[in-house]
Amino acid sequence: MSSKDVIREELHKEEERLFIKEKEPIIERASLRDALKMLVPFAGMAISAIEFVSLPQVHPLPVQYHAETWLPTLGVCAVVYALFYVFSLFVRPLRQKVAHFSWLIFAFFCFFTLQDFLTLRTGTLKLPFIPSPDKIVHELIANWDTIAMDAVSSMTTLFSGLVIGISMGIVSGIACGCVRLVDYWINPLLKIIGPVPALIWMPIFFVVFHSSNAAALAAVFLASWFPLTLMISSAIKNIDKGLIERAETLGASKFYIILHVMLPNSIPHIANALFMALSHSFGAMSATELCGATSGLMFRIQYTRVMANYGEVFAIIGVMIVIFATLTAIMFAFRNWLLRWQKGLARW
Amino acid sequence: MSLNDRTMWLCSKFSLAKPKEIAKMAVPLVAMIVMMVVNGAAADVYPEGETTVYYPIFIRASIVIYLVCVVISIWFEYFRRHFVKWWGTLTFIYLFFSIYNLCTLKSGMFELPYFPSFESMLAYVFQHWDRTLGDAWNSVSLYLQGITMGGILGFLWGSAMGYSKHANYWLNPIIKIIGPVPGVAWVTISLVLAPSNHVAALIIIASTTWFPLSVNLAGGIRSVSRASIEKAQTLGASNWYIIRHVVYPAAAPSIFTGLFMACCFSLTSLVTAELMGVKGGLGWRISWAQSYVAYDIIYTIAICFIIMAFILITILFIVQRHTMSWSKEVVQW
Amino acid sequence: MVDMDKKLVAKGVRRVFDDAEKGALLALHDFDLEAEHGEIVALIGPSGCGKSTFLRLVAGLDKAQGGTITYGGEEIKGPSYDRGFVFQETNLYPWLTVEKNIAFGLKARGVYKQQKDRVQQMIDLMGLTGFEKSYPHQISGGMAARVAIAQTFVQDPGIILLDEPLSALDAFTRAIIQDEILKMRDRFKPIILMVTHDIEEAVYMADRVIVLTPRPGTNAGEVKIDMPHPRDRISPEFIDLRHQIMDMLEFD
Repeated sequence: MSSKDVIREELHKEEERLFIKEKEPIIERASLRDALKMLVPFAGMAISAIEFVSLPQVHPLPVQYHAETWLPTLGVCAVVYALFYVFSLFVRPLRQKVAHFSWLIFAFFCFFTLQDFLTLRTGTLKLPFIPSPDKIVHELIANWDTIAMDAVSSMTTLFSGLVIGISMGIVSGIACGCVRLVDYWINPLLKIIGPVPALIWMPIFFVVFHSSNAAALAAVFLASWFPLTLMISSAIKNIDKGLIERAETLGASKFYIILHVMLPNSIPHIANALFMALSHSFGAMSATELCGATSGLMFRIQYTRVMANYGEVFAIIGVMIVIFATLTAIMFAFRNWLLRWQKGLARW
Repeated sequence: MSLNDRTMWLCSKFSLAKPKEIAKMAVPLVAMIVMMVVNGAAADVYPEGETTVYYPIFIRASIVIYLVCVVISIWFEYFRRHFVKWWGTLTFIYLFFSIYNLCTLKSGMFELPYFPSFESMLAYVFQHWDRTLGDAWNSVSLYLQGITMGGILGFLWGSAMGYSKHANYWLNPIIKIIGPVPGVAWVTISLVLAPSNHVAALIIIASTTWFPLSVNLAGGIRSVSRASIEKAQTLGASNWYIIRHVVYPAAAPSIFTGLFMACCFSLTSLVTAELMGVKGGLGWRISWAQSYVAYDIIYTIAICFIIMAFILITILFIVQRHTMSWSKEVVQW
Repeated sequence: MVDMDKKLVAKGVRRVFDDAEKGALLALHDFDLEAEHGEIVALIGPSGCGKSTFLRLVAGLDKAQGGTITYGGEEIKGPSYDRGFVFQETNLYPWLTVEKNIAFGLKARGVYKQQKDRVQQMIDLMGLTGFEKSYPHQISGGMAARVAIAQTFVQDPGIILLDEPLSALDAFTRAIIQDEILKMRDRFKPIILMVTHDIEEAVYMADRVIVLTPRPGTNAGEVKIDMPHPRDRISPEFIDLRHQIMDMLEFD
């Protein structure tokens, strides 16, 4: 064997001697450290329960308030989490997620403990304007049917407005980017109408549509159409001409270029625009529900606020937080999927 | 040389406006003259007894200003380039005014109080211009205060999220849960917690600024290419120098995207805050007018608000154009 | 001023990449190298043999899992301006002009005021006069490569590491910049470690050419080049050296 072959043999052996990572198993017992870390949320729930039971109420209102809901809620949370805990002791992927969120869940329960302390126990935050967690859960359970109906109504408006706004936004964005004539007429419209909040348009929408739900839909449409058109047309106008020319010399038709060169190239902008469209739509929809709507989450908040049922106000705000946060998380997940080919880029 | 060539040569030699451009600039003038004719020819029908005072003044002033601009742009190329491209929009606007006037004042097709005439809107602005200006100033100052507060908070929050994994663990959930909720929903809580209405309004505006700015800034910081940082390290820069001179400039496009989103979201919060009782802004004036069902005032203030919003966002983009001329990622306005 | 007696010594260098999917990857195994001031050492080898990896280790951007790398007797612990690195992708800072890009390191170290004229000297040396106020998106690829090289050379580092900086350029520009690098070597006398795929470039510029084996990379051989500069690319000696190196590279 020549010296080269000797060297090669040696090196291959050296590589084999290195530890090749085995596929990590799915069912694997938890380490002690992980198991202890995952007990932390239970500590949070325990703290909340202890505080709830031990400290006396300071209640300015004449009627004695029977706080009945919080302890059962904690019990339900404890049972659900116990289920998760048991499974995480053995299932590795689940365990990674649960261990990661342990301290956050702990802080979550501590937050409610603090709120209970500040409202029901010491009265630092003015009751009844800021209700205790017990009252919030109580009102939520008591009124869950109306709240659900309002949520459905809001979501319907939101989704229909988003779907129409996003699809039309993509179309008009491409049109503005590619056709100069279209851009010339739509651009001033975009700049003048776009940033203006939906509330300002409400009087005009009312007169044109004669229905508050239609006005809300129009507001959501505007809130989602504006960022998509602006960012897509901006991305297409800024595109590297070389990419288009290369596609043309390869024989692609105009339509093919739009679909397979321009759109993929503007994906970062589309991702940003989707984020803006969603968040802006939340604001537009809530703002328009304030004026003369008959159903919807924000409308219900306003209504119950006027009725001075603050527990329900906060319950609906809580529902709103949950729904909007979930939708935003879904949007970010979709965004990360869109940008999966950009290594190390903007992982939010 | 043919006539066309000679004209072209003359135009380029003295940098005069070309015939095509002059034709473009003449079109809005025609529209304005049409407007004047329509106003003079048709009689004021509705409401009865009302004489138009401001409208003819407005038309004449428009024509004079426009002629002055045309003359300037025939000679100065820089002005011309920015001015000629508005010919279509201006024509459209003035034709729209004529038609609207025809429909409301002249024929009574669209009725008060839902469709006020242009005349009454102009009348309000001219008669109460100091009040309107005061309202606008109040709105702008509240807006800028809120944006500054939210901007500083968002900048610090986003920087912490971008640099430290540990800080990100705690700050990220807060922002993903509380951020998406629109400012409108915080009205209840902030009215209770804040010592005054003004502070409550600031909190609401700041919350809608803080959310997009943090998220974008954190994303921008995390997406700075490792090669840029390593290059600075091999050139002898300290970590602090790298943060100031490599990471933040590289994240600047994201910062501007975040600022744009923040400005748009905060405009909604501004209107909400003013509607809920902060005295003396444009939004407050709209709700004041609604109680009188004075639609002409509502529309006028709405148009003032639109103009104010347009100016504010354009200022943002002027700043962006000057600092971000090197980047292709930012939004072109 | 650079201390001319310092030597770069690498012994038994071993670098393992921990790849999440494929497991551990042995990039360099038992690699040795020695270099003195005023020398240009070219590292040549097939793709993936660890040449750039070694360069990053010398720069201090990564840590070796075995062996030692010392410069002037001291072990290399982290990046420093004394070991300048010219990356393969130019990536200049797009928000800075050419002038400011070149002056970046000087400003970062706080010595810009004293060494301000070096920036202009470097601009003239690299043929960038007239482009001082241009931005990176306004200049061609060849000019950008020159700016990147100037950015590193202006600091007068003891070791200069070139990671295929000329591979994206046309032959004409490449030849010009090769001569400019030789000029600067004569003037400043740093240690230059050059990674290249181009055998001709290696023979044209280097005093020693070190050949690496395919992954995991180790010393396969070394060719000393004694020809005086400027070297004739078509002389029989030159072509003979090229053949020598090509033979060494044949690992079927």
